[in-house]
Amino acid sequence: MKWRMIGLSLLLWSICVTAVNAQGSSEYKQNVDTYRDAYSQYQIKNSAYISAGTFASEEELILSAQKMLVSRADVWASYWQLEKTTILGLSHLSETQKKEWQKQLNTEISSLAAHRAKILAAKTKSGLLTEAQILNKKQETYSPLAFSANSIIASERLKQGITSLQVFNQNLAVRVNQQQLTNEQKEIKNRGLTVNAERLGKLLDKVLKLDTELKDISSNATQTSFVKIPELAGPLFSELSQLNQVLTELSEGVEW
Amino acid sequence: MVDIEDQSTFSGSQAVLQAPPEMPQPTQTGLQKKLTITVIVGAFIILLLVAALLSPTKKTKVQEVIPSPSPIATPTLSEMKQQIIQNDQVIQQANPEENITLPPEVDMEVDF
Repeated sequence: MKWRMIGLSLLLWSICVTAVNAQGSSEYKQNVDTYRDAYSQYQIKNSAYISAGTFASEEELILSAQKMLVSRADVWASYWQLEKTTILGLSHLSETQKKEWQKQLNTEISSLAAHRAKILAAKTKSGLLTEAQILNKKQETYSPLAFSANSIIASERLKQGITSLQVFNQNLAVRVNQQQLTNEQKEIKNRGLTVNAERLGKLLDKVLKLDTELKDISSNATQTSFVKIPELAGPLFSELSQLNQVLTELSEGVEW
Repeated sequence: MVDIEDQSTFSGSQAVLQAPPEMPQPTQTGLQKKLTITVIVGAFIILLLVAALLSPTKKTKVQEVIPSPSPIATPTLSEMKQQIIQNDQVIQQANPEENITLPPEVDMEVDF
């Protein structure tokens, strides 16, 4: 009954999280596109101002710079929002850790909202430049934070996969033992399920080690460090997929 | 100073110094006995009451009302099917290539 409830809860949880994440992800992508367009427009207006040097071209440059800086704040805000939603949707992460992340990311989101308001209030080139420099400074801390958030997401998702297979492994064992199979067939399947359960346990240990490895990198992470996550987590994911395959094979011939 | 060797000094008051005649002791032992008996009887009654409450007949009645669950719950067909779908979904999400959302690469150079 316990395993059954865990299985059902995980399923419902993952469906809800997937739906919310898809929405956040699409908003983030849209904001990235908006920012790129705004930045291109700003560059065009800047060139026009440099060549014309008129009051009208300056006005246009200020407006385009304002729009670009607002979209830059928006793209970061939607990124942290997406990371927050994903982290809060991790079923294995403790409530304390979730609250810590929520607090930290809410701080960033609020700070970006305040920054956005100041940009909209700034009407001069110098005022906009000051705000741009403030965000530039702030962005230096963003890569380690983003790396840390993605590390948590990667390892927790692996843990979630392991639990999911553990539940299935357990349920399959129950089913096999209650079925009309020969003793030899039961023995073979039970042996396979025992080995699989052990391998899942060992895989979980490896994921816990991965947590430490990624944590060590996160403090000095840059944009290029992100490749380390799939590099380190990839082999564990392959192993997880392989164990899922083993379970699928073991479930063959078992009548539901 | 009083010479304690001088018996004559105390002769007049001998009657006073004599131990009082033995009075019948208050029935303290009797009370204690009664109290002990009361405690023992009380404890015995409580024990009987507890035993009556926990008697097998009562247990059987409760068990008759609430059937005990089977020791191992067999997953149903729909539950197992749901789990197979869920496994694929959860494992797909665990792919580190797919579950990383890279932060935006924004231009830091803003100049007028």
